[in-house]
Amino acid sequence: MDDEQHVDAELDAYALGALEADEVAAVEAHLSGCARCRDFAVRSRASAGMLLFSAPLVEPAPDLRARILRRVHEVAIADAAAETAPAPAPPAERAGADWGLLGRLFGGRRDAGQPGDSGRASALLEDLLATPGSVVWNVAGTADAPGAAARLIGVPGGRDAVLVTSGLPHLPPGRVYQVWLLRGGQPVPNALFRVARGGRGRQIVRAPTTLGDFQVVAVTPEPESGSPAPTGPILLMGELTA
Amino acid sequence: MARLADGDESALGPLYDRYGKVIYSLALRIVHDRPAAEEIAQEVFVRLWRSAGSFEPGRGRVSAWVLRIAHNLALNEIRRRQSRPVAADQFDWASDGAVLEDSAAERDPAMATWLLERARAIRRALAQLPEAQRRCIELAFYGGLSQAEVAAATGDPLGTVKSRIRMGMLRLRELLAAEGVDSESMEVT
Repeated sequence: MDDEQHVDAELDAYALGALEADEVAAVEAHLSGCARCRDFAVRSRASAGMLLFSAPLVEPAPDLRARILRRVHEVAIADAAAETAPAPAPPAERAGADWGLLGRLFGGRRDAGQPGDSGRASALLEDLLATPGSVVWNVAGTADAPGAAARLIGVPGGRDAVLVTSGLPHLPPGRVYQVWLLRGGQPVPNALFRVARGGRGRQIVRAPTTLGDFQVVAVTPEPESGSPAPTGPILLMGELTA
Repeated sequence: MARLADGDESALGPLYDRYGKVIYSLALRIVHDRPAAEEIAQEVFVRLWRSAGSFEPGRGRVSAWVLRIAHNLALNEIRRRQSRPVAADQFDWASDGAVLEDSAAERDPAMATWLLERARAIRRALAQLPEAQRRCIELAFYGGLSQAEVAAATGDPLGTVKSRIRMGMLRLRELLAAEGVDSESMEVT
């Protein structure tokens, strides 16, 4: 490529965003095939980037910080709600055939929530999302389930929360997921649940005391009757920071 | 940023303490409207929250990343309003808000010092440019004007504007190098 075709004379204006659309197209077409001009473009972009710091600093309104943090919190809540758009019902719920089994499984464990009770979970989730001070805790997949993720939505001073999962592996017959709330490092057994396609699920978690008394939430696969202490690998875990 | 990418909302407060003021100031420099600048700052942090996972540390500083977002949002705002940009030396900073240079008690003093020193060095370099060159660069960068639009705004021939931008940026690089400012760290693609 000879010198006449190089675009270095345009690169500062390009970096400043001062070229017309057709000029931008011509410069970018040239850059795609010219390493020399790409090097100059990096230099020009760096120089233009310096101008980002050139505005005189001005004190924002004292409450701007709080307003921004509040706004982001609202966005986080709304995004969590969007992620909880009605999921396909779990196979057991759709088929209806497993209700008897589920009833046996979870009879007497209403505090721990019931699989397939997505209506109650959805209603509770809506209530929680509208509650001042509600928190969305991030619950990450561990090395044993890197594709899994969840969020726990609740109020630190309350007992009820909803765990929204995605990406949990399908479990074989006779196995269910169990939620654990950890206090002082000791796991306290909680809800049992199954997941629908895509590992998606919504499960009510009812803490024996306030959620703020617990430091960690975790999920393990367990026998379908649940376990008094974890026996399977931890697939989801998250800190319940205030 | 790693905490933010993990969905840790509590990481946002320290990031605001580091970058909130410089983001707001850049937005205000462009839109000259405090409520609009606040809206832009707010949107920057919402985008930061939603996009933290895509930030690649090897590609630039967080400050340059968030300022690039603020710059784009502010330019979009003035294009939406089609307001006429003004050069920095024509803007009455004193009437629009206290200039902080020496008065801010930052929550993150090290970062505040770094930003303040960098901003001062860059403004010193800009101030040393011939006025015509500086004005063309500022109209393009802060006003979002093309070279042709700068020419129309200043009444100068297009060729003159192109030459002023090219020579001004060349001189700016020399001046920044003399100030010891590392421009490479500012490159964000």
